[in-house]
Amino acid sequence: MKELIEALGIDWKLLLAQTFNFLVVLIILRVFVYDQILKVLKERKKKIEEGIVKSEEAEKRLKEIENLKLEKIKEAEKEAKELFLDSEKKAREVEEQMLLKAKEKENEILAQAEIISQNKIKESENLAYQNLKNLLKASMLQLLNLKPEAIDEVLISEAVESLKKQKNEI
Amino acid sequence: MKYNYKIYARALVSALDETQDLAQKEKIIKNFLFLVQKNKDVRQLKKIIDFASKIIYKKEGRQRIILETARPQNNLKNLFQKFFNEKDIIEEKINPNILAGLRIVFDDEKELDFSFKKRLELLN
Repeated sequence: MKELIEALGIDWKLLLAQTFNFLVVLIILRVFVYDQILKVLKERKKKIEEGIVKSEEAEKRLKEIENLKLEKIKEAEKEAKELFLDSEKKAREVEEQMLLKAKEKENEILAQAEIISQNKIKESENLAYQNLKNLLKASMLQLLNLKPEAIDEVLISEAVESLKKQKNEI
Repeated sequence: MKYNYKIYARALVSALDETQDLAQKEKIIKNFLFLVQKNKDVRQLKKIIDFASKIIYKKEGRQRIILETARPQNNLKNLFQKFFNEKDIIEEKINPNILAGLRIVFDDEKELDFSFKKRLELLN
């Protein structure tokens, strides 16, 4: 053993001195540095844990925001769809109303045209009738100028016949 | 114009009704004419006499029938006499306004119009 230690070059005194130095250094480190380092490590650990929690929270919030965003988008889409359907419905109603009004207007115009046409026909008929009456009057007056006595005779005979008829009825 | 012709006519008829004596009636008529002259209503005299005649005819149940023609006609009265009462007074009148034919007027109230003018009016 002694030979092996000698072969390895170990000096007991030096080893003891080094052990002593090591222990001294160890005690000094334990007393003055270890707690500080531990404290720093704990703080760092705490900070890291807090960071992780915050990060998780942030992630959760982000997810929530994402969900909310999706929900809002869905809602907006739904609203837009409803709006579109509503506006389509309204447009259809307006179109129907416009068609109805156009139909009414058309009927009105047709009725007016019919009245105007009827009036025109009536006017023409009246004019023709008036012309005919004027012609007849002119002819009658001409006849009167030519043969007044003959007309007297005819009308007086008519009066006689009428009175005869009245007398017979009585 | 002091009085309306109808008032004169009614007064005259009423006065004439009160007596049957012709001399008295003549006197009434003279006085009446004097009154009309005094009241300066001579211009109404024709109307008064016509209306008085009408009242008298009515009382007696007679009609005054006027046969209006545009020109003089032969035997017109005779032609129509048979259609009316013997008591009725038939007069002929020339009215060129009727142009031709005949218009029969009864007591100025109703008429039968067989005139040419009426025929022309019917065309209007």
